[in-house]
Amino acid sequence: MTVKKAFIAIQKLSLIRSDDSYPPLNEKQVLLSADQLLPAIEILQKNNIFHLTTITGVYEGQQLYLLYHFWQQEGITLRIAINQPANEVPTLTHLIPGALFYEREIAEMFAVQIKGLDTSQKMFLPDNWEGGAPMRKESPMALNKKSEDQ
Amino acid sequence: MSRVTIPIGPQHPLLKEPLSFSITLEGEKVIDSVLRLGYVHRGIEKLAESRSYIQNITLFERVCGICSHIHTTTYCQAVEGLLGLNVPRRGVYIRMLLCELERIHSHLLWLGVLAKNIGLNTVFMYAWRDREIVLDLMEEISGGRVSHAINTIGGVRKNLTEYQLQKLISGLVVLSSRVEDLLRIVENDRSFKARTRGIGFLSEEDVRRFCVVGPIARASGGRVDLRKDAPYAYYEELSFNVVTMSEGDVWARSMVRIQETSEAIRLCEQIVEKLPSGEIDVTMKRKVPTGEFISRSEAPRGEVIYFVKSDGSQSPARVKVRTPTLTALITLPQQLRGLQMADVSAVVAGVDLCIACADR
Repeated sequence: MTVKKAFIAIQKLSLIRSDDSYPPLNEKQVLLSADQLLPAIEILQKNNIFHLTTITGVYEGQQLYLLYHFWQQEGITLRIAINQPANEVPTLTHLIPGALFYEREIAEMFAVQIKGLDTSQKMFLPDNWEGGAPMRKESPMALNKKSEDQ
Repeated sequence: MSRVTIPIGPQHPLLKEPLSFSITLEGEKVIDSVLRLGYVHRGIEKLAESRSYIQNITLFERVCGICSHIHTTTYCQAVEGLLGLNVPRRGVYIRMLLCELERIHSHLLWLGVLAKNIGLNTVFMYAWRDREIVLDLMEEISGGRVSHAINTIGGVRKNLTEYQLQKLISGLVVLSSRVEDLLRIVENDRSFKARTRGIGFLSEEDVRRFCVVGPIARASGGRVDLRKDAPYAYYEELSFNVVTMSEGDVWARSMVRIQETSEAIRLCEQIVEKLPSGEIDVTMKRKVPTGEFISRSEAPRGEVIYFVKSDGSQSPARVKVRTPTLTALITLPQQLRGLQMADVSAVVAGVDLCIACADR
């Protein structure tokens, strides 16, 4: 029940733009912009939803989304659209200290700026890494899918 | 008093896996510790995007060297969810059987590592001797002691014979009495308690703030177990207890894990008893429809999540893996703060780290 209540409250924050399209997910999800992230987390915490499972970076076409998966007997996902060129989201570590490693991973793999978090030291990649953010679409690391897949 | 910083790792006296942390000491007291991961980062999530759905099973089996089966199970569940496949009951039961055997294996391995780190070599030998029993059982069923290669999208690849089931039953009887002995040691042995009580403390509030899962959360009073909270496979058909303690220290984690081992043996017995007859797999459709799927399951160390996104091509557009060790690692600096240097080894072993899982 708590997830359902929070879901309805967060939906009121959400402004779905018509140009945003993404495939269906098997758990509840809300599309938000980066500046709506913190208000949404506050709503979740008011409804006793504290468990952040992970943060997933995912592309739909050229648009990068960060998915914040929460869990309280059922799942709820906040889908944050990362706007370019701002390319940043606020840190959650003051509200959820457990988000620290997830955010650092996002900063390293997707080069998204985490506002309020020091990400100058590497966590997963080598210190002398020069390949850019490996999970980004335009990264030189991006593997070309085989032509038969298309 | 002047401060000294000691780097421990990546090549480690405590763990078999590479993890680096530098510990700042004041005398013998730990003031601070800084972690560095990434020494076994293999870019598995990136690799998965260039392999087909079936090839990825082999890849995800290698995320972890201990709980390999739960990774393929969770991945297969996600792809089956996207495909809308109904896996035959017998196939799911065989999957669950290996999941539980793996839990026994993982917990016994962990007890051995902890015992060795705190200087109780006898317990280490006992625990690993008993671990051989479960490894042999897994080899009998799947052909592999650690990597089983039994999961496939739509079911499992190997059926169970009557002979295997008989071996399993007799093996579980021996294992059950051995685990009882180990429980007595953990519960009563004076040296074991002297080295594990009151260190590495995490409160229930800490567990919630740091999003900790698995036995560590349960040892601090958090009643979280996805087998009960969101029953996947057919766990709702089986009866078992979620073991919790309130002490929140390394000793409580040991108690939780050993009692969970007994519960896992009970689960295995139930699975053998209730094992349905029939098919073990269904044919996978070649084309995975566009969509996204989150699959969650309870690994020996806690919640594992796989996020799979399909764009309709032959390989997934994105696979995200979150393993329980990543949540446990964040709490290490807090657990170590204020401890004696000699207790660091017990705390590090007590959280049951799997660095290969955390790095991916």
